[in-house]
Amino acid sequence: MSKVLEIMIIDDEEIVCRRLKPAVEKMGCRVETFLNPVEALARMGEKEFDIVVTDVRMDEIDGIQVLEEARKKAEHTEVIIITGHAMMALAREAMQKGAFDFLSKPFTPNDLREIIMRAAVKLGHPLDYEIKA
Amino acid sequence: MTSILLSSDDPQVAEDIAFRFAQGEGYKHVGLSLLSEIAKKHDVSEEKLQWALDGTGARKVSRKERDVLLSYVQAATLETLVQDRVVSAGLAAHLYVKNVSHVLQLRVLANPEKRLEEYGEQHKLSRRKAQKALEKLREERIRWSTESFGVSEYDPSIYDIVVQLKQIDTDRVLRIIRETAAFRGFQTMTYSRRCLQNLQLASEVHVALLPSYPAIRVKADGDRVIVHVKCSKRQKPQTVSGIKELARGVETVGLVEVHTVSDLRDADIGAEHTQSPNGE
Amino acid sequence: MTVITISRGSKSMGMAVAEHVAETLGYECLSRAVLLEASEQFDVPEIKLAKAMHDAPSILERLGHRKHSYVAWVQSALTRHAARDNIVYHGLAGHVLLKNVAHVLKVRIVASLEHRVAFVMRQENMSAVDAEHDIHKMDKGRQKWTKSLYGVDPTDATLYDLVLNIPRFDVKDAADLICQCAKLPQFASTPDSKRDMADLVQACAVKAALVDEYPDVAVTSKSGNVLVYCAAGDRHGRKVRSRVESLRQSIEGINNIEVHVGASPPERAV
Repeated sequence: MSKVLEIMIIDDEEIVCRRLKPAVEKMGCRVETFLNPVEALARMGEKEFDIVVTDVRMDEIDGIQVLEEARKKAEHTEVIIITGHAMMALAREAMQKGAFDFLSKPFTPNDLREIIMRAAVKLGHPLDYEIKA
Repeated sequence: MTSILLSSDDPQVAEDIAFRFAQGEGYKHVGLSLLSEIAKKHDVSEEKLQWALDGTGARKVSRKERDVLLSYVQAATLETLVQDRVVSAGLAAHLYVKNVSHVLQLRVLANPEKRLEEYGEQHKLSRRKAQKALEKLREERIRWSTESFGVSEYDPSIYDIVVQLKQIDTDRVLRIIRETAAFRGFQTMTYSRRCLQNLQLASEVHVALLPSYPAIRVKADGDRVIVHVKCSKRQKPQTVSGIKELARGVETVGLVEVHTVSDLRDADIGAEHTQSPNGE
Repeated sequence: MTVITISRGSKSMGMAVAEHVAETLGYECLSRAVLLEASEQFDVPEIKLAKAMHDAPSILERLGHRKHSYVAWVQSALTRHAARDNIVYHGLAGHVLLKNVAHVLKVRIVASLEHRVAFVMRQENMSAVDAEHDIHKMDKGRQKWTKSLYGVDPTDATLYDLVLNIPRFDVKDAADLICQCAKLPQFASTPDSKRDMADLVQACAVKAALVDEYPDVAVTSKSGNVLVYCAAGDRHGRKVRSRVESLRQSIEGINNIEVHVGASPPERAV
């Protein structure tokens, strides 16, 4: 039986988490969402996630810090950065620090699904899911 | 996958390195051979396209014509660059591909002594005259790049790397390119790919608009196109509708936003704008 | 055995790169140490030397010819360090002083204005307008300084073997690239290049010894044969000649020393 990918989504905007959770669960993944990055990091201490999707601009801890912490906790975890304030310098910094991909808002659920599919391949657990237009 | 843009104060140097890198690493090489396709597509002479790209010597094309010709080159080059794993030289891409992290921009400075000797031999000039001629070429290129693209080709801060072929040889330059292209900061990401696609769409709209509206700036964001145009209040309604019609003729363009300004330098500050949702 | 000079635009994060390179290669990383040594040797407060190396010439005109002395003393200290090889120097204008020595890898670190403004805004808690103004002021000052001393524009890429745009690279990647180039055989010291360095050390030492009394001297040295160039004037020439004779005893390795009065010094003179 193929592994069910464990995915964490962190965004301080509730609507983002509410939209993305079912969209990613449809791919056959298990998804936990967090509005608070501090709680998200605490949860990472309890459970290993395969993929973390995180916003950048949040209170207390920003997405780059989440990226750094996630990679420290588990090297194999792929981190996808999403942001409504995309700048090339920030994107480059994220990639230099080990992000798998960087996506600017607004994006469609399929945009994120496509990236998750690629991350799954890299993790050695390709998803049996077809992205429909 | 990283793409590479090469430029040099000696065009042959950039061309040689681009060719060798493409051969060695299995990249697609895009260079001056693209001009024949561009010439055919826009029904212009290849020679004129070369003049527009060269920018030195006596002005063989007017400034207006040069801008139009360069817009053709820009659009065609960007169309190839969105494919990934491309190495390009000779098409001035280093001057109009801005802020795309997975495109590595490298400038190679020719060995100054060698260049001076070769130039003197080729043009049958004394050392002093060859030096003066090369200095003049440099000034002309600075003027051309600043006029055409708003930036001096000789400003090192527009490149990721500048290497001088004095003690560092071509083999080492190839290795520098290979190693740098593998750095994480130069890997393609969805955001950088989209930025390049935006540049490409903007360049296509620019081609469509430039002959009729020479004083414009075009940006794209997904299928949304933003045009800043210099025009008077009296001409505004006509200009806005004319631009929208032409821009919508370009494939994949959705919303077209037109801002009229009295000075294009104010393009991002306090401009009037007219918005029109697609399907109006 | 290589010497690496890292020239950096103001607020371009070049110091971090220099330190990383030095750590990776096991080299000494120098900037302030050179000032300290010059300060001790010539009994001048370090702060005065630092100002001489960083302030635009117009500000220092008030110091009169002392600026020339300060700079000459720092140059002498720098070349003495550089002669030991395996150093990374990231102070002002080392690359210009050492440009004729083959085993010197000359690197410049640049950053876009946008990035530098963001850096200064964060570091100094300034507005964007103030940060940009400060940066332009610093850039102008450095350009003026290097131009007045060496007649070159420090932003001219042809002065360097390699120019890297930070932060398009992270510090480690930039340092790795520099280290790879430093290991090239072209940058390994040879008997010839070591001789060139020794000549430069000697020329700078002679200049440092003379400059306080004769601020307009220029000096070259080749295999112990020292040429001192000074302005025209019989009396002036005689004074210089008698002064330089005394240097034979105090500076090592001088075989012969001549004074050329009124002649233009060659380009490589210090």
